[in-house]
Amino acid sequence: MSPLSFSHTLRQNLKKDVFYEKSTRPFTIALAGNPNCGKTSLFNAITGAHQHVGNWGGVTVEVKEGSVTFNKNEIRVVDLPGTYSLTAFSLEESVARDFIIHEKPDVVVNVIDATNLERNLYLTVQLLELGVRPLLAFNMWDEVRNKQIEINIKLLSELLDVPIVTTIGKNCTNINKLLDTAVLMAKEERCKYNRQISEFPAEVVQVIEKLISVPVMNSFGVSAQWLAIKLLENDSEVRSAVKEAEGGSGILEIADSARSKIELILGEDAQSIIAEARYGFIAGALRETVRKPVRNRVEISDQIDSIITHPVWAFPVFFLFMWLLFQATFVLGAYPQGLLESGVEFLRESVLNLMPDTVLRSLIIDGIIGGVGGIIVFLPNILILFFGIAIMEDSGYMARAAFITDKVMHKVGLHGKSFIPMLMGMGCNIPAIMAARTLESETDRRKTILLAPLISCSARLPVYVLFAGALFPKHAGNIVFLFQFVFGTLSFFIMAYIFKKTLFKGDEQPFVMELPPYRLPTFRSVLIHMWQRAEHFLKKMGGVVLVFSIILWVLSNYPVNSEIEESYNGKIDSVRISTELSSEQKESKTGVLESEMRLEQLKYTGIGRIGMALEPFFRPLGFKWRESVSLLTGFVAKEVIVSSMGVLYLADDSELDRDQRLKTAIADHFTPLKGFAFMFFVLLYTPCVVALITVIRELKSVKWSIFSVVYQIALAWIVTFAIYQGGRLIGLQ
Amino acid sequence: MKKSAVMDLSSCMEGDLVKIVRIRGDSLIRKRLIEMGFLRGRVLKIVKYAPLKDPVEVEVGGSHVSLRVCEAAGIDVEPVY
Repeated sequence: MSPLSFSHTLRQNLKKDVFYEKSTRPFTIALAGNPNCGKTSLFNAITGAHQHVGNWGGVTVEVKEGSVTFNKNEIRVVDLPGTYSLTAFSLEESVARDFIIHEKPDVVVNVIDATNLERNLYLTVQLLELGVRPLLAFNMWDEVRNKQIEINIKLLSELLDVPIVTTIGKNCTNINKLLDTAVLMAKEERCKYNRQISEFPAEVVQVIEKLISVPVMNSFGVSAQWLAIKLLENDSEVRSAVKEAEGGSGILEIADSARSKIELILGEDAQSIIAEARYGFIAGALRETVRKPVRNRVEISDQIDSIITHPVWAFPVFFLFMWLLFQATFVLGAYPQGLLESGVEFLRESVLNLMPDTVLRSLIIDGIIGGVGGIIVFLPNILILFFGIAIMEDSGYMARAAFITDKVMHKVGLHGKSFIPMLMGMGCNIPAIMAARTLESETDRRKTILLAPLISCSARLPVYVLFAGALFPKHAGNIVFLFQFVFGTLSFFIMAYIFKKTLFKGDEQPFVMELPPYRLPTFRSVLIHMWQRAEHFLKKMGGVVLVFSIILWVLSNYPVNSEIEESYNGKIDSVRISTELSSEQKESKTGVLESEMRLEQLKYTGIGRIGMALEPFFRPLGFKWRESVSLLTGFVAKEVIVSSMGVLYLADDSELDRDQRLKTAIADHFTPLKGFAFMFFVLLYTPCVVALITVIRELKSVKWSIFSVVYQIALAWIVTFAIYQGGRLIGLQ
Repeated sequence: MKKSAVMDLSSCMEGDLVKIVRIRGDSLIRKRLIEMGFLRGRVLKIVKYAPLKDPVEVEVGGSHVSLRVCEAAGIDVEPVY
């Protein structure tokens, strides 16, 4: 993140004044609030389906935007990332804070979980310090009533000097009242706030006043009081912004010496002192306005947790849920997938019948329909997986799943929530990579995205089945099992450990995570969540995958050498007209010649040439040009390796006993050691072009995308090299 | 305050009620703990340890929060009787 650019803020201010003249300017409302405060359900209630996921400044943090027309006012609604605070320690907080400072939304609606006022109001106090008067939405008001908590809204609103509206996001209660108040505030410009509210200790107040009196402090376009507080809190972004300003280093000196003095006098660090003062202020306001019943019954959440996080039952329950999610995603998902596939097939055949046999037809069928078909078949998996994930997140189970699996994942430097992407990878890496979005911290998310492709997906299975069947017929089942379930998972954990010790050394993210009360997810929220993922997948991926499919199609078909075709056609014709051969002999001879022709043509195409050119790269692994070409075609999808091997190894093109003959051919071309090494390469290198693009899209960083590709190929090469050459050293064949 | 009474949160047992004395640890974790309401003088309840004995769930100011045992070790507490 770039430091706060205050000159930019100034420019924005000027622009804003111009805009204020025109009343047609749409209002912008920003929703801010803690994670789990029901902010998203409130956002859904306000905007309905009129929303989209945007990304902010090239970071992976999502900012959702929507619009609503209310009483002829056009309102743009922005759902900021959920945060507990507005310091710049995490990306989410930076994004939320930068939006409020730079974009200057007309109204900040601070969504509050009204059953947990104390912690939720901590963010409110920070908004007030920033000079923003938020509109408080006391959400989950039904739960407040159920829990018999009494809140004197009127008095609290007066004490804090901010308007409060009670809402219930999940059934849209009081949404109109909220918008009404927001519009009123925006029009009356009642959104500015300038009062020292936190009851800071006298020592702190003195320093703040001293800092505010420095003229430069008032030239940044944000509240000087807020800047002073942030300097005392040692906020890195504010520091670097102030440092750049004229006389900035002098201000930093004042702040730093004042901070150490305060810490010396009060015997605690400034951050805690300030936080305690904020909490003290909140406690003061709540003491007069909130009555909570004495808790005499066990809460429902605690009862559910007595099973969900039970020392013995937690894991069986967890694995049951995971099994259900996996089955639903990949087994249930196979039915709509089958329908989509036959739809694509129908389209292909229609084009085949309707168009003459031209290059264009081939491009449409293999390049475009093949490419687009290759994407949409993943759609059912993604829809179902994210339906399940949305239920788990909205209900509060996700946090528990992370709670029980974190110990294992943390050993290799990951987060409990990395478990689900890992597990889903066994079905297909693409939804798995997307599932990494459930991780809050960018580092954890990045690690999970980098590692997820190592898990062996189901598309790799046909390769294992072919090789294990051909080379290890007695142990085929075990070998397939090892590759499909053990080796992939093992490399996931080993690489995670290596990353932890090298690349991400010391980059440990705090786990401190709220375990929210269990809540019934609303169907509407779950559907919106699911649709957003699907839309994102189709829109963001569609174009790129299409381009890649066309490139791959061109490479695997061009250039065409007409000489090869002519010379083989000549040979085939001479066999056909030969009088010495029986018709059976003729057929088998032409079959051999045709497959030879196909092979020669493949060698001439782009992919064949690249594959052959890459032979020296693969030679230390024991692979020749055929293996090299087949691995290259595996970029389309891993199962394509099997079909291209048919072209590469089979001398006869007929369909008769094709599987069996391919196995025999594999056994002829591969020693068991070479085959074993080959299977490892298939396991470890880039899963397929769609997965690759998903990784690039989700990492949102050129540097990390390149790293992802390079490390997977390097890993595949090194492991395969070690197995092949190591095996030869100890005399294996 | 008797010195011997102070222990770190990771050595507490399920069901214990303790009072926060001090939060050590690096600034990122400290900051996250503070904003979630882990303040000096507040009472914490150790709700339960995860099935694999790490992380630990505690209740503070009405919220349930899970933290790793290594993070809990940075919080000094004293028992509440």
